[in-house]
Amino acid sequence: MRLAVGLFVLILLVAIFTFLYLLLDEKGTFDKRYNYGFNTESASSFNVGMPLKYSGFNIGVIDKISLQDDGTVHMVFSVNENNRKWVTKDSVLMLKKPLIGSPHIELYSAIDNEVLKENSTITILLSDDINDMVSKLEPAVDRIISIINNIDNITSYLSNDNSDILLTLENIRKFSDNLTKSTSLLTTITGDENSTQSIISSLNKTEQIMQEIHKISTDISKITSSLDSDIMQPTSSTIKELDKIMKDVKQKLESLDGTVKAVGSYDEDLYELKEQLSVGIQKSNQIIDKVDSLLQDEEKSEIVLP
Amino acid sequence: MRKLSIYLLIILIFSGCSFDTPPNDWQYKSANAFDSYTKNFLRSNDKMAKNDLQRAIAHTKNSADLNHLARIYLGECALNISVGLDDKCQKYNEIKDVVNSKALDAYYSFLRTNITKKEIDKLPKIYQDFAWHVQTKDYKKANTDIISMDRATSQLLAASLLKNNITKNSINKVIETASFHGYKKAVIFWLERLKAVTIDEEERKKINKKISIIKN
Repeated sequence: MRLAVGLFVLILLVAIFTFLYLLLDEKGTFDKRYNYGFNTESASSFNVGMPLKYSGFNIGVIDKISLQDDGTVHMVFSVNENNRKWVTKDSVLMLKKPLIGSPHIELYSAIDNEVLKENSTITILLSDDINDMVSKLEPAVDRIISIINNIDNITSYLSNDNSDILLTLENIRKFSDNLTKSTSLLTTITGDENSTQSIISSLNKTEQIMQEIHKISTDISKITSSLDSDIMQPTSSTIKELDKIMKDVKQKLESLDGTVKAVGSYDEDLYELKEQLSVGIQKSNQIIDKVDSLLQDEEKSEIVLP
Repeated sequence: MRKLSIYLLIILIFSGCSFDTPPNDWQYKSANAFDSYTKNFLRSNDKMAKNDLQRAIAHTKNSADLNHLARIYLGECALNISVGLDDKCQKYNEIKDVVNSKALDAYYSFLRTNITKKEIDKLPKIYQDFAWHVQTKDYKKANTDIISMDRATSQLLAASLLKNNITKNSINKVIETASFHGYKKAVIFWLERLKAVTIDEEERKKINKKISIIKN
């Protein structure tokens, strides 16, 4: 039995360590890395762990940054065996600082050239941020130029003698001339003096009719006001009071209904709550059991009497 | 990656095998819960102790093995007696006819201080000499037995069963053991006993101060 347990533990340990080894191996921890360097004026925008990219893929990282005696900064980056082939003679590095996203170093490599020796120094170019911005603004500038061209076309069309707008303006001018020549605006619109007279007489008659209607409505108002004080007002106030009472009664009934329902469901809620509490306690007891078995020095199946 | 997955699978299988629960899981859980109850009770963690005891009993009641339940009842009774609480082991008394264990009956008689000479052999070994010396009224040796007991709970129980025949020296030893294990309830009980047997007023005051400090 002891042998079996020992064997079991041994196999488990071997499996765990092999798994860890393979995991680290997969991550490239044990890969040989090749170092290269480059010099810059300043270490700003650089940091240890900064990625080195080739065609958008991470192929290495900056491992070390050191200040030289002449005030320049020397940086060392490393790549693994697989990515070493991209670092060739005449390769150039460029620091990219995108407007959005973290800065990185891009490797521009001459693929046909032979692979660069380890610990060689590579030239680095610092990309100009303003140029970046200009290249990003270029499409917007193109669009603005096209809009200006369109405005130019519109203005040149307007200046043409046969354009619709100019014809419309000519018509407005003719209309205003007629207005100044005629005695009244109405005759200008109808174009006939008799028609104008007929419209005026019709309007006068309409005024008389309106006065009569006003008189009738005043009489009606007097009658209804007497009705209002004698019958309508008392009735209305009674109805209003009755409405208030009914609303009050309804409100009270509603709250009473709620209370009755609440009382009815009270027992059920309590039972439900009790059930849930009981389940919660049982669950926590199960956890305590597990904790207990972990905390005990040795597992016992017998109750030890004091 | 394939190798990695295979090894991960092996680890998972082995880990799974390591955590297999035994079929008599309830027995382990119950024993662990009672062990926890013993400690919490003696350390004056009464609420936790109550929960531990309830769990121990609940787990035991998953089985028809009432012997286990009887042990819990006797254990509870013994602990109460060891800190000076009056307990007649009523719970055990109610089920002893369906348990039928001579060893447990002997232990029950031992707790009730009416053990017969025939029953002494059936007691746990740790108590046999002590019970024999009490039976023969050789209290000097009984006190020595208490001091030589290597289990704290047994020492506390035997000391309280000796009642007024315990010596001051044994009381001090018991207090020392209880203090070492942090058994607050037992410490307070035995300090009270020590105070009761101490004549010197100055010493009594000191003990009293100790008790009030521990209680607060």
